[in-house]
Amino acid sequence: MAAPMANFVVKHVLRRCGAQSRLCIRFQPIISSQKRLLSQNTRELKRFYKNATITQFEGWYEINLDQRKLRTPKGNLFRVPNEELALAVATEWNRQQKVIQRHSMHLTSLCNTALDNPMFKSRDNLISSIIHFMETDTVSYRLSEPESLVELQNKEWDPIIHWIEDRYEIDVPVFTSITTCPDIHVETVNTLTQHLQSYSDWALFGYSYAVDALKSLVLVLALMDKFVTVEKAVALSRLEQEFQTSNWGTVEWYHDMDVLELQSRVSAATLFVHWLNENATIRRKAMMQQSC
Amino acid sequence: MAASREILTLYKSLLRELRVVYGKGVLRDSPPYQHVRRQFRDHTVTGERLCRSKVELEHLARTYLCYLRSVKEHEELHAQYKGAGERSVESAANLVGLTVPKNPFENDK
Repeated sequence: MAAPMANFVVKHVLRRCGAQSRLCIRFQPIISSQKRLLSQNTRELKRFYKNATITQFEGWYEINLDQRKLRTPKGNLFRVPNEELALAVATEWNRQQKVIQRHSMHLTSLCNTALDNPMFKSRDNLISSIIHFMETDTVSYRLSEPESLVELQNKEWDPIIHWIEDRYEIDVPVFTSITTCPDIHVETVNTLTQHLQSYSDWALFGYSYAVDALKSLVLVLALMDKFVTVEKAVALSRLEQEFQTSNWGTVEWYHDMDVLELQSRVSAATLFVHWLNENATIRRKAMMQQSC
Repeated sequence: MAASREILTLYKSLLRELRVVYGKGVLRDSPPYQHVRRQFRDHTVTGERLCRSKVELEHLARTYLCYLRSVKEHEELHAQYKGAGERSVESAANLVGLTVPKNPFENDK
């Protein structure tokens, strides 16, 4: 019963948005694969292993669930280029209780996305979609009333914007009306593109995930450069909600869950980008070497 | 070891979160525990050489702690508030102050 209904909805949507729309072109090929993924993912998965461990093979790190190798939803072998990332993913699998909660395994899903690339995104696609957020950045849109909120927005968001402008030598526009047409300088786009080009494909998936969650490229850049903590970035992203809840109180099943989910998504993306970018070597001092 | 009190607290909280995952007995043998320990040991600031920005490691450790905590707390809240599925006829009727007769065919006789 559910399948014909889904088809109907899809056809209806396709008819409504017209043949020329870009959305339709990107929308169509996704559906069949998504249906398959959904049918796999809605089934409850019991914990079928005792221990998740990591192994190294040809410079890549794989996850073993007891004797079996972990695979991605598309059936590829799950492997990551960084040991710490592999350890964190294994910890994620180890912390599962009787039923595996796939919705809260953000690091695993980020790796899966990077390995499978289910939306067939190219590097340039990813970079332009990340920079696209600059036009409608959360910190760029200011309210004009109430006054205390305006003050709060200026006080909290301005230092971040100034820091980013100095750090990257770009212009971040600030609007007070949502009807203003965003106008980003070509130089700003070029600088950001150049910066993002320096990241690996995998790290770009992490960037895109973080930007999607925070709805702000400025905050993500500040976070990746370790200027703000995850908690602070999430609070800045939800500044208006924070302001309203400070007046009217919070509801645990909505606000608290929202904050926690956002924090886990954003911190997963930050860790992901950090570990993929990292290339640290440890040099011990001569005396310590002897004692070791 | 010239670690400040803040760093020590951070280290302890990280180990506490890992203990939740691995349990008390096996924690010490688990690779993530050993890795975290090694990281904190290796990157302590010495007087002569700062091998790596202290801020960087602290930020990374805080981010990971935030990740472990947020996921745990989110799952707790999720388990508490998630729907139990569809309501039964009785409880739906009860919502508007009605009751369902125990034997619907009683009046027919």
